[in-house]
Amino acid sequence: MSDGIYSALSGAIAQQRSLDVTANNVANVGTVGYRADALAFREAVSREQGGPTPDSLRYVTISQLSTDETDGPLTQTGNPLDVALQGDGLFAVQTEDGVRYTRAGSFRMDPEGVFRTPGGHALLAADPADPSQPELRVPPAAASIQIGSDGTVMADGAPVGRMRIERFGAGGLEKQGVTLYAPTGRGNPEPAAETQVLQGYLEGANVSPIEGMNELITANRSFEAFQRVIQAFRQIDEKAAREVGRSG
Amino acid sequence: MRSLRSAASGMAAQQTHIDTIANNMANVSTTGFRRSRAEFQDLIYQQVRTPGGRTADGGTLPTGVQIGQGTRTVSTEFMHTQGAMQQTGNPLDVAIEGEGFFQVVRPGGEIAYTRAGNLKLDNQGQLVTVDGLPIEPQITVPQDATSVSIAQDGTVSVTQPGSQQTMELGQLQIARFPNPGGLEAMGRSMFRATSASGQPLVVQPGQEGAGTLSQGFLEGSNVEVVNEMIDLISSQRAYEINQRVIQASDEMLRKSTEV
Repeated sequence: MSDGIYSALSGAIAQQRSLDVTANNVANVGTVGYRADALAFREAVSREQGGPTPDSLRYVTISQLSTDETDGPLTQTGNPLDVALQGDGLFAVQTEDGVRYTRAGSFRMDPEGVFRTPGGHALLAADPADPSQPELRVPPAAASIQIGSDGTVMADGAPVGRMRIERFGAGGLEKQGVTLYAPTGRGNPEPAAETQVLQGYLEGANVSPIEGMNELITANRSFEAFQRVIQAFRQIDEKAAREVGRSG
Repeated sequence: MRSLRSAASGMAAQQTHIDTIANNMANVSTTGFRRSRAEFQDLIYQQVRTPGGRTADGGTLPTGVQIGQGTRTVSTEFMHTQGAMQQTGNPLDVAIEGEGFFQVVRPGGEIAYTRAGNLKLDNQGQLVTVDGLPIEPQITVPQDATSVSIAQDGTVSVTQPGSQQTMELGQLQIARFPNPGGLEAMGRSMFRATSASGQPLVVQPGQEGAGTLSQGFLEGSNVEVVNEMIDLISSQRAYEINQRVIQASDEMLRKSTEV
């Protein structure tokens, strides 16, 4: 039996994984603050005793999943509690599992004046005055809320705090779902001083429908090609079994 | 295949989005209507390979591989931006300019909140909403009043025949909420307070951040047709792409069975 059939099979599986990632990207095309994922593949060589030889089985495997960190398109909403970020910073929010990060800035104010994400997580303040209350708090009766480009929040003209917006180095965050990112423990967060805060805007998903369609077609056609290769190997094996058997 | 389910969740989300848009569009001329907005989130990621795991050749993986499983609707929120003001000249049409709601007494005594200021008088002369529910605080206009005026601060006064003086009947009040987005819609342009919206703060119009009243105006819905159309088009296209993913997954499955 030819080993090549396994290489082709690994290719087909890789394309299926690739379609899974594309499917998730296009499903989230309407998710505020969503970042598109992309899979990268690499060649792997099976290890036999004495190291790889030219005859070793070669196959394809996922090398890594990377997230596109470019900013998504901005939509003007006019809602004072919609906040978009431009730059590499993320909002720090409090969850049951600790501090998490998000780019989805569609906040609402709860009855205590705390900014919350649609999922109910409280936005944290940078340098809170009282460390036992790390959330950003606004007087609930405030008639107008203004947010400056550095994240300073003003209620009726008086500053009440600044949003905690931080950035991580490469590999410092991983997706947790529900538009949250969790720190991986590699590298520490630092204040994202260069990130601009825009009030009245939302950052859409950075998924490009055209790229999505392109990936979809590529995955589909490549899968088809691998399927043909698998069929070809089967035919070779079949032929070998029949004709080699006859000559013997 | 995960892609089938992810794409199905995407189609369901876009359907919710279009349902929301359809309701907004249907209410484009409803007085005091508040448009709603659907919001979405990605789902929990499946760990295909954990970061820090061991590779076949003895190293550690610098990054993991997590594959997402689609999307879901996380909330539909009412957007409490100001609607367009329409001049009607009708003395009982009152619009709120700024934040806040009129209080309406429902049968049974429950208080509901509305922005629809197209008020009427019932057969007792009481100020009621278009559905006949009394406004709180209750104000009764005498049968022989020749004109009614409602001031910016909510003071309702009338003139009566044979009198040069206006007579004050009372003052309309406005309820404000810490989080108006958390109000629950009851239909008929009314909202109900919830624990998410917080307790209402009942104040005089123009005080403590509440809006002022304008007599002879109505506040239209805050639906902007152009924005809804754009949302509709992009939502429809997003639906289509998700559908194409389902087709592609289906094709892959079919090819798999042909091997």
